[in-house]
Amino acid sequence: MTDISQKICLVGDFGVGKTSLIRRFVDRQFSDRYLSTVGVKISRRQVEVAEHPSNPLPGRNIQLLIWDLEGRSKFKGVAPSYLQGAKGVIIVSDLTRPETVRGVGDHIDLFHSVNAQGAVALALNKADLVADPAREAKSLLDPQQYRRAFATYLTSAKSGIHVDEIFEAIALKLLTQA
Amino acid sequence: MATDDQERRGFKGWRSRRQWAIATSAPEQRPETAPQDRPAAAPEETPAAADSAIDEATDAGLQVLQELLLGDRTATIDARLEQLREKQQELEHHYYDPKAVINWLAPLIDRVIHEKIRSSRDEMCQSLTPLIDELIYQRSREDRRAMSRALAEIVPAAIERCIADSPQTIAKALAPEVADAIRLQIELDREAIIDTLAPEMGRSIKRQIELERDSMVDALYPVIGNTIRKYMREVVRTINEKVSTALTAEGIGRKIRARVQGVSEAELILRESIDFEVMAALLIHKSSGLVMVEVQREDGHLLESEMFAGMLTAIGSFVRDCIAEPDAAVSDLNEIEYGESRILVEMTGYCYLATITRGDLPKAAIDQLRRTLQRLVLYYGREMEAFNGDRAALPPIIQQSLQNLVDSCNEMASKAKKPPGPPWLLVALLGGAAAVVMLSTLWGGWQAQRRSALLTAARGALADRPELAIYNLGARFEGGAIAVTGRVPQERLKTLAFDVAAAAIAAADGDRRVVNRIQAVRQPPDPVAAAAEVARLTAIFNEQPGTRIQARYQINPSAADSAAIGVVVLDGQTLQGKDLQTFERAYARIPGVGNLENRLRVVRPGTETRLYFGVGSPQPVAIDTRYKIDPVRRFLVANPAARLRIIGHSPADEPNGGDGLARDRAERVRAALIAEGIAPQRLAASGTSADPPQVSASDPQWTRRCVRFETVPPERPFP
Ligand SMILES: Nc1nc2c(ncn2[C@@H]2O[C@H](COP(=O)(O)OP(=O)(O)OP(=O)(O)O)[C@@H](O)[C@H]2O)c(=O)[nH]1
Ligand SMILES: [Mg+2]
Repeated sequence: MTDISQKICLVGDFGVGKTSLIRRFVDRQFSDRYLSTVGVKISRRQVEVAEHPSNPLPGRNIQLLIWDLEGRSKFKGVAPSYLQGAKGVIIVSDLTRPETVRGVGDHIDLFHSVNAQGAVALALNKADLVADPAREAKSLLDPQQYRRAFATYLTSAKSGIHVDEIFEAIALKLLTQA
Repeated sequence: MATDDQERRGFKGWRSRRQWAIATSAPEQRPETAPQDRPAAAPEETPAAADSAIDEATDAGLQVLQELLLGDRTATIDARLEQLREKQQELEHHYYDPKAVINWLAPLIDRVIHEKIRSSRDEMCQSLTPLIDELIYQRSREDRRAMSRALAEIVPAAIERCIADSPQTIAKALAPEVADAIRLQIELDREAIIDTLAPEMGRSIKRQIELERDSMVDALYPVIGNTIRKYMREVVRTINEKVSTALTAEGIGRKIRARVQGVSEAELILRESIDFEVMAALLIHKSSGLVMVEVQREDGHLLESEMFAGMLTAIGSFVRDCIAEPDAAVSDLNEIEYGESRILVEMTGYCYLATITRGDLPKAAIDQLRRTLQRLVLYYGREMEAFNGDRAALPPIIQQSLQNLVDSCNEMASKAKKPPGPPWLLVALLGGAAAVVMLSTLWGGWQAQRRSALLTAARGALADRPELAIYNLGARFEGGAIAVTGRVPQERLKTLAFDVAAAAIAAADGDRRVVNRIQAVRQPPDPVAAAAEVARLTAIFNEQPGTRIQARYQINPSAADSAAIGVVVLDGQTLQGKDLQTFERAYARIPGVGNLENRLRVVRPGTETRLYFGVGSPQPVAIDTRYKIDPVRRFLVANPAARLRIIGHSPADEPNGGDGLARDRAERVRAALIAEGIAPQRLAASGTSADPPQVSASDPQWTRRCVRFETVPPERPFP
């Protein structure tokens, strides 16, 4: 049996840690250096969910094609055409920069304008830099936006916490939708 | 009019009145009112004046009166009466014959309706409105053509009006169907749609593209591809002409070689510069960039196809977003070049084909690539559109066609790369050419003219035959003889082409020897075309009554011979045994079908019927007698040669059951069929206490008490 392939995108403001999350998930590595992404970078990793009890297609794994998109900045928005065909998106924000968490709604809007049925997961990243990340998240994240996501994780690309979890969650979600 | 008083008078008086009434009314005008046994209606129709005259009379008195008044006229009246009765019977009979009734009533109805409409228009509207759609529906099912003719006159006007009134509504109503309709029509009759659409094409396409670009591109792709190819053919011809006028030293050398090898110079130029190889072909889902199908050369290092496809798609998006002019309707990436390698991109609505090559692909290969993609889109467009990341859900035939494509391109490459013949050959040929030149100078201009006239005649004849014109056929001199040259896909065409050319040459010069140098090349079968042909045949066969077959075309990748790679699996049922062979032969003739798996069954309708019985009863349950005997009778009438064995079943544990009852049951059914007009010698009855096939003691008891039928082939005696 072949894998099922699915495209997902990582979207968010610049420097929130999209590339770092992918690098952690795919290469199991982290670097403190910041190399801003230009355009798109695509990575691939198989998620082993064949035996997972909630997998609706037992015996089949999913191959994630992960599109790392250039972060949104003052000068440039996210190009919607890169979002086409993505069944899911991880919207990344930086807990140390409140404006990035407040901007989550815009990103969801954009994604849904391209893929009305797409699944949205929220990654509130750089949790290792915040004393009480859960509390911080609660105070910054609009509950309405929180409800639009099927899952929200406090992640850290540096420590690796909840990184595999968020990717696996979206993989399973896509299998149930396919 | 009947009054209370009259009604109380009873039956006796009524009979006399009836006779009177008949005699005094004009029978021809009111045949419907001739009452025979409808007492309730009679008094109404009796003239009131006559009533009072008869009131005093008794039956006997009336007789006398009649005699006195009418005398021998009674006889005429009786005859009239008889006529009337007949007429009435005829009428009654017609009640049950709708056609006759219509004929009778037709002339009246118009007038009635007219009258009614004049007097109460609204009422009429109201009562007709709910029927109208039903009427139109019924009528169009009965006679499509007549209905179309009737509607054709108003529909354009109606549509025009509708467009004028609310163009948005009509656009919205039609838009979602347009792409599908076009796709279907292209399948049915490609030329017709081109003719029809051509004048309005530009505007409507633009409109539809605005609404839904992808499905439109997909629907039109097969046509557009063809049009472009037609155009390209023109271009190549122009190049050909240019080349033939360029008389350089190298050009002349090439000219000679071209003549000798029987190919066009342009082709030769192409061949000389060819060195290419297809490394991989990927069919990529357009929006997500996921790989749907991939074929890669096994020897080369493998491409990370998923990443490659993703990046290529991203680049495509980027180009479209940033570089393409914002107003251009569709502008896509066509080719990426890096060093020796090239990526050719052929777009359709929902997917695109990326071919990674080393060196330039020749035109023939690109043609084939386009053709393959066109067919895939045409036949599997829906599956491609629905692609959700699961490659296993796509028809495997797509993979196979892509593999065939890559193989045949690379075959083309390896042929092209063959080293040129040894130089002595060229020397000899040049010598030969020189000799020809010398000879022709010696023989003088008229001779040369005569020869070229012969070639022209042969070529002209070949070009005039439509089935041959599409192949690159020609004629040339070989010594004193004329050789007919070229390549065709079939042996039959080879013979045909030769005959055509030879006849033309013989007409001009009866003594000229003609040799056949045409090659019949067997082309690798195209699985997409084969699958489509299998589907087409199946649809045709299924139009026969009683035939229900499903045919699947499968690829057997392990087949040794590429011609035998396709397998057709037949399943279903048909009426006659001889159909099996007919179907088998038809499918096996399709190019690309190597093997056939026939699971067809011959099923005769009616004979699978079973009649069931109550416990201990020899008579089938009423409902079975009513509904199951007739189909069996009809089967026997439809198949006059068929004979039936009627087998009764009664399990040993049935009360009063066993072999005897089983036999009784069969005999009853046999008798019923004979009563229906079936010849007794066609029916044999027997009984058994064994269970019928597919039934056992664990099944419901009633299924064990039955009569079933077996057909007996005509040539065999009843067992
Ligand atoms: N401490 C900490 N630093 C992080 C974490 N994730 C990312 N960083 C750092 O944040 C900076 C930006 O990270 P990137 O992953 O490049 O951010 P990005 O979202 O891809 O940025 P763009 O590509 O410009 O949109 C880098 O210096 C990372 O080392 C995290 O979880 N914890
Ligand atoms: Mg980045």
